[in-house]
Amino acid sequence: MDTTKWKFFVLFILLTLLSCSSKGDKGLGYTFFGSKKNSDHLIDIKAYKYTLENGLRVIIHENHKLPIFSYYTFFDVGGRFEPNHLVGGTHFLEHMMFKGAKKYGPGSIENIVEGNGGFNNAYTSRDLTVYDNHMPAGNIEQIIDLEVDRMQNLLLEPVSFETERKVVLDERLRNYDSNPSNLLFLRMMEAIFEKTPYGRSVIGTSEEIKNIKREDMLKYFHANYAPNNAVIVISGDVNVSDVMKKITQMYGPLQASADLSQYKEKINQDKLYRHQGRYNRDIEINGINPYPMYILAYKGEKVGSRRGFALDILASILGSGESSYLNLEFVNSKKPVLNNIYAGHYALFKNGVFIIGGEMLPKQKLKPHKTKLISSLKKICNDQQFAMERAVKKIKNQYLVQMINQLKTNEGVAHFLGLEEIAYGDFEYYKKEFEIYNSITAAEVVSVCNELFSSDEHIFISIWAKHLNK
Amino acid sequence: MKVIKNIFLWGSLLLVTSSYAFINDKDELKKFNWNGIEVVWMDEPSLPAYDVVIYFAEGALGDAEGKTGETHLALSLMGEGTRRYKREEIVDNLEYFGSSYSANVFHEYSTYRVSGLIKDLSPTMMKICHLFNEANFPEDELKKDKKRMISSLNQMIQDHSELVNRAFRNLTLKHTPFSRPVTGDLSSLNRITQHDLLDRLKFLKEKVKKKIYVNAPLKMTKELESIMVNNCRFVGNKNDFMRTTPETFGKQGLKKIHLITVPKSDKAEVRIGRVLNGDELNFPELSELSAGYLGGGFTSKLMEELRKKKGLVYSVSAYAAYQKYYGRAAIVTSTKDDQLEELLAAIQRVINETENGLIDDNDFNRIKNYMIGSYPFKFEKGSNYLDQLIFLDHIGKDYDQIKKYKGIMEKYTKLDVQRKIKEIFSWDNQLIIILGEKKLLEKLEKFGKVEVHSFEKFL
Repeated sequence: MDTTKWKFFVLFILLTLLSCSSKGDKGLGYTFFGSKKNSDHLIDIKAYKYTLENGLRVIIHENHKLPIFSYYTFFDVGGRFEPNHLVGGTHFLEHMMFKGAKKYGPGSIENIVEGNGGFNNAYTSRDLTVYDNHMPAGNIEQIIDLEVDRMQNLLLEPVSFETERKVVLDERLRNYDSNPSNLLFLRMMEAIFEKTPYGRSVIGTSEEIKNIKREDMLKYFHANYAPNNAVIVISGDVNVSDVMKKITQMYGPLQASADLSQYKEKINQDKLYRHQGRYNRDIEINGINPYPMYILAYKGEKVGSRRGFALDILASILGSGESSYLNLEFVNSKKPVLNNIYAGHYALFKNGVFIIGGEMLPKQKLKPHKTKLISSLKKICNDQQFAMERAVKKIKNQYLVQMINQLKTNEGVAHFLGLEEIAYGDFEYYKKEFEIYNSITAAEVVSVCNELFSSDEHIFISIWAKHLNK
Repeated sequence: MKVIKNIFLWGSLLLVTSSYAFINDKDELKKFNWNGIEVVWMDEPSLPAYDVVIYFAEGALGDAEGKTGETHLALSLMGEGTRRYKREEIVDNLEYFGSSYSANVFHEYSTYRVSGLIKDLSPTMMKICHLFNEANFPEDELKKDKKRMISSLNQMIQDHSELVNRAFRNLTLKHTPFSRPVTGDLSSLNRITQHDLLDRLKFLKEKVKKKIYVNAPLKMTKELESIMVNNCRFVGNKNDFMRTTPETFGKQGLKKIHLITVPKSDKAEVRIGRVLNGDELNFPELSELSAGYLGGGFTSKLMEELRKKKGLVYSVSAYAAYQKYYGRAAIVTSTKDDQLEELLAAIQRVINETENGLIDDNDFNRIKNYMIGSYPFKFEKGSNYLDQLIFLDHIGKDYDQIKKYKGIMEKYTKLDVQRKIKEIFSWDNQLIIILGEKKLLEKLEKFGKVEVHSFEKFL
């Protein structure tokens, strides 16, 4: 329900799907860094994957330490799938998925989840939509029944639809229109992905939200919210065979969406997502922040390409942590000009963007800083201090810690496996990712650095109280 | 590659999934005494990671007059330099290991947390000890840090939620030392000197009662003990300083409305709440259940009324939280300017109905089940579990409290909740704090006399 929070979380996850790996054989839990004889992989998450006849994929990881479990449903549909008259519709529909279906009518879903001691949520990104339930053990059948009902028989009840429209408008106001850093990010995406489906905001503008029609949303729901477009991931105190019996029995009768593959083939055409923005330009946004904030955006890579992995490492070397290159250059330098700086490679399923963002200190001028930043980036790749083997190793260590922290909860494990499955069609693909990350050398990082920053194909977007909108 | 070789060294540690049963398993919780300092160790045999938290029985209440933020700065700026290492060398070294290290200062106590990979525990903790012993807060670094902090405070105008939270603390705890923000304010930060920080850190390290909490494989005990004793040189004595009861302060008076004005806003941030002290701090689980009934989860009364029925808000929550010496209860939400009156009237109606006994059995049982059922999730991560233990020790309660939670919650009735809501959320005893444009004044005056403040007062 909180698009913003999750958007950045997903960004983080996508940037850090790293040094790990798993195997779906029998066994419980996961093994870290097993002997090289058995596996070249650093992390082996024991999980089982099944595919039902209707195309539904199910992944289960048992963890019996606490009497709780997390249950995720990933739908392979996000903001980029929306037709022009339904911009914001996937996110709005995400809200409506809590508003009742045929068996579990309005108010029932949350009453059942919370009444049984659990909690739930959801998020929508440009590529996918994810629903999660976190429950005390013993409630698995109830959750399956509830999820089957809303996948099959969502009501989109008209009165709730209009009330929820107001809630989504309030969310837009609160999380975007009144929030300079989120607004800056939205405008950056709009500019770098101009004329592509990624250029639209997931939540939609207020006007777009107001124009969404219930009938269009229902049609969109029936096309996309079907077993052959979903992945269920369960992690926690459950028994695989018991759960699979119930899932087969309860999800089994659901019909696959007939035209899905044809429709997705059309929407997934690479040409639709190619960068075609207007580069080497500045965009200024009026905001309430007294000191300017900016994002310098370059073309990135889609999830999974080798160059994309190298860009991930480059971004971390540049802007992750206080000892990162740009931090030392502009924040913790002798004469600081910035309050903070960050860099990231936002790898989406069909394309990506490489960003550097910062916030000016008082009395520091934005334009000279922009010139200095771009000029530093052009020189940075050949700096002796930059991207030495040690710097690359440091980033790999940091990724590993992030990965382990992520696997400390059922929620973290389920979310991680689900993302791998939905992004690569293989929940074990992280093994391959790990191999790629570990094979990337400092020389390769220097190479992508030179390629990226020697280009003038970038856009500089800033927000400030003294800007006029232009 | 070397990174893989290093990793393989600790392969044998890792076998199965982690996390914990509740503490009734005595094998998972050990206590030690290292040089007079009590250590609570939660065994974590299956993950190659550790969390070490050092607790100090002193917090921001001990900041010198006019220098609020002093404790926070002393602990969080230790890495700015020592006689041997420059700032960039320190951060590069710690970040190389992927370690996290941070201070968390409350009014009543403080913690310093370090976490990372087991294989790097020794070099990381030795560096942290070096900082405790040798941090010298170089003038040039301190100047830059203060500049950044002041810039962040001024930039807070873009974060209305954070801004109204600062105002809420200030106004609900007015005339008490708890009203000051632990991270400092515009006037205090400039007054804090290098000398102040050196004195403060020395005091925390040498005079204040400490306790160490660890979540790591038990086999690391000797290694960490050696570092804490020989490198950190932490020593505990029975006469160590502990922050105790500050001056008492009176109960919350009658309803007051405050408008915090900000420019260019078309939404209103709303905080409705009050300070809790004295007898009101008793029965915290009941307070939690009562707040939960009003605004915990998606099926609470306020969520039902404000979001689901009326579509007035995206989010609304209520809490009753406490430390050892004080607590606060609050309703937290925001809405569009033109919906503010309707929102306030609806909140008032929900509170009035509840304190008059209009509590549906199903609603009551559902919320109670929700709070009991979701409780174990607080313990899924070892670091969160440590936080629960630290808090229980701080307020002087036994760890058994965790096991008792379900039983305590189950015994509360609708009548208990009705009475508690009347006691702590009664509309006529609340401070109503709204942050938005000045034009909201006219709307607010319909609810009573309004005191107007500029947002700058709270920076």
